[in-house]
Amino acid sequence: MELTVDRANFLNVVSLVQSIVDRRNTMPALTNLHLEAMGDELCLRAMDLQIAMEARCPAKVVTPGKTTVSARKLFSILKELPVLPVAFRADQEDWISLSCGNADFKLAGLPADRYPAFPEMDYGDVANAEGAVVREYKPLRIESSTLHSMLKKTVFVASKEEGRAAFSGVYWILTSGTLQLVTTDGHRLAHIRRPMESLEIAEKQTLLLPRRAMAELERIIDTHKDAKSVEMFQNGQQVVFRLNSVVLSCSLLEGRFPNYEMVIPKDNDKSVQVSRDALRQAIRRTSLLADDQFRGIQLALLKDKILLTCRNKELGHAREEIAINFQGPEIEVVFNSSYVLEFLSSLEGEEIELSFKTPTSASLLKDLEDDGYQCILMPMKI
Amino acid sequence: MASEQQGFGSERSILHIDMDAFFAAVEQRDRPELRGRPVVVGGRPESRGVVAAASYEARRFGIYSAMPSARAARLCPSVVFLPLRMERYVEISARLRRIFLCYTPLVEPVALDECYLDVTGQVDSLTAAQAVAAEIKGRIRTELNLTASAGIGPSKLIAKIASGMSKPDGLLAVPPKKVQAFLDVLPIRKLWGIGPKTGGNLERLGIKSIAELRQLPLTQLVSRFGKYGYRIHELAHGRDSSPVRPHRERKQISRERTFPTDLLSRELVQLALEPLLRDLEKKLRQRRLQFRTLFIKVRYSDFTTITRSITFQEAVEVGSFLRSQVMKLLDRTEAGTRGIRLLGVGVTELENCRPQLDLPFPAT
Repeated sequence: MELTVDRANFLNVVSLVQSIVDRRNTMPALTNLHLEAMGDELCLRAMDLQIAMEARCPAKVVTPGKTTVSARKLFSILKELPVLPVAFRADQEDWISLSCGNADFKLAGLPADRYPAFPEMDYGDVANAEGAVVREYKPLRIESSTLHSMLKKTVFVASKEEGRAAFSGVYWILTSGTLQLVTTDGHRLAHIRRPMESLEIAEKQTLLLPRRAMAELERIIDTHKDAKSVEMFQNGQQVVFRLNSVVLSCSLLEGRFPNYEMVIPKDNDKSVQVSRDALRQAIRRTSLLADDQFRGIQLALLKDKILLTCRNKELGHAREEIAINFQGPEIEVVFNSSYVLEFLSSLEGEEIELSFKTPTSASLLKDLEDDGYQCILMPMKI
Repeated sequence: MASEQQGFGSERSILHIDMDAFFAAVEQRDRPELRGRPVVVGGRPESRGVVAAASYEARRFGIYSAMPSARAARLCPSVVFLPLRMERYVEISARLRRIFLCYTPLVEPVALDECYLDVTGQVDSLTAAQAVAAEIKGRIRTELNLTASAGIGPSKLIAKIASGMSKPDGLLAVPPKKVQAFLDVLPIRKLWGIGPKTGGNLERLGIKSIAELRQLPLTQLVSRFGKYGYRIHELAHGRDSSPVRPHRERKQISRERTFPTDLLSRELVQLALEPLLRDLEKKLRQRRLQFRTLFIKVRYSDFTTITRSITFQEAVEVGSFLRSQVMKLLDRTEAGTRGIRLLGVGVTELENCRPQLDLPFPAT
């Protein structure tokens, strides 16, 4: 295997796929990247036991071939190389020579056949031996900038703890012309609904996909702003996303997503409108005295004001008022300030609406002008 | 000063009170017809249960705790087997505790029948500490009609060894200046943490007494036992600064059960785990605790015992996922292919549940 590749292109694709590499190191082979030179491209692949990613970059291929090499090492070397063409060569024993300018590296790789089998990520029609199409490639098309903002507003809520599938996944609800995403960690929930003209689907479909894969998808879209749409197709337990030449595959999470509609409050009768920024600033200040573990602050809705207070047995206390137009009835609720701040950052409007019912029931945060995005948060016990 | 000479000076005064054959003694106390007879509390001899406690009359036949009940019956055919009455022992233990608290707030229960008391500052001499211990023993006898053994020393280590040596119904005080002489003549296994494994290792080196252990260079102990070597070295010199902790935090919660017949199939193992899991969940909910580590314990029919555990990044609360995680742990055992006689499940690294409320999802 031998090729020459532009250092910037090479670094871009390596930087994209290396984040998949299994940090927990469950299988040593998976700490490597799989590289394949063919045609006029270099194809890079990485996977862990849940997610796989493939990305390509143009290359002058002298001899086609495959090898694998430590993702971390390759990435850190490429970052330091001068902006010059990179000559890459792997010999029969998978010794990899990498030269750029006056710098030369010799890296111990592993044979490509030691790399675990990749999930089926081929796209395009599937034909039989006679050339007749037996499975037509008909991906769903999702408008990428809309998807990006939807992921950005939901993924952060999903739990990083992978023990409970439903709480560590992003729930997709696909219907013709509309896409909805829902996430919850059991304490809070984000629900977003957006029109999606490009989405054509015969009947409603739901999928529960891993949080980590969705965070990667968000990142891929972020680095490919030129792409208009993401192709999405399901192959058994695998769901594959394709954006330009980047392919991301992940397995469906086992487990049922809870009935989220039941916990979206519908009769919160105490509601106020407030400047998002004013509330965020005030909470950031007040919460400086919050307990490190629970982050609790008290929010009181009083006549014509929101009163934020935080009492810390060891440190002291903080209070701040925000003038609002509110006539009551008054209510006091305690929240994890980090949760509220995360929601306030993911909302976008200047004015938001907060609504409550009781100090122990779910409250609802949303942009005044946007009914499609709802943030639901359970309070803390007083 | 006389008290200075044989007393504690700046040292601590720790009492270790250990009830004599507690479960069996409670039974004999509650049923006078059993007094003077060999009594065993625990599993039935025809079952695969073990002896939880043996009265001193039974011990004369060579019966001891943790021995299979069947073997106890062979050693002494006239022994009376009684089932455990945990609630009763807990009740008596609470009454014991009330007695101890009359003397010091620093009472650390180790088990239902065993307690450390720190009376430093309450007494100013060894003689005074002995008087307290004698008074406590007297009250246990008159108020509860039971006997206890007491050990007194400048540390928990010494107090505990002393109470063990004064059994039954004894009292032994070790003044700080005599600690080394007291320890030196004892076999190494009297020290905390020196069990069959470490003990065997040391004995193969020809180390039998604590005096011999004390003469081993620290470097040799550390190279052989790692960090634990320091601890052994300290203990052999009678140095133990561990405090008496009145509110001993529970470090783990677990449930286990020995089965009357070996569990041969995976299905049976799962069925058998269910009540243990339910019990564990109930306890965690009651105490509002969450955990970071979940473990299972499996004892195969040949008594080989293994544990498997999983640790989460954040503390988690009980919930349906507990079962799926336990099943995953079970996958890492030979359940279904090897017979299992004992199963246990438990959690450690406990934390108080966050006051954060959960979204009211309907149960599915």
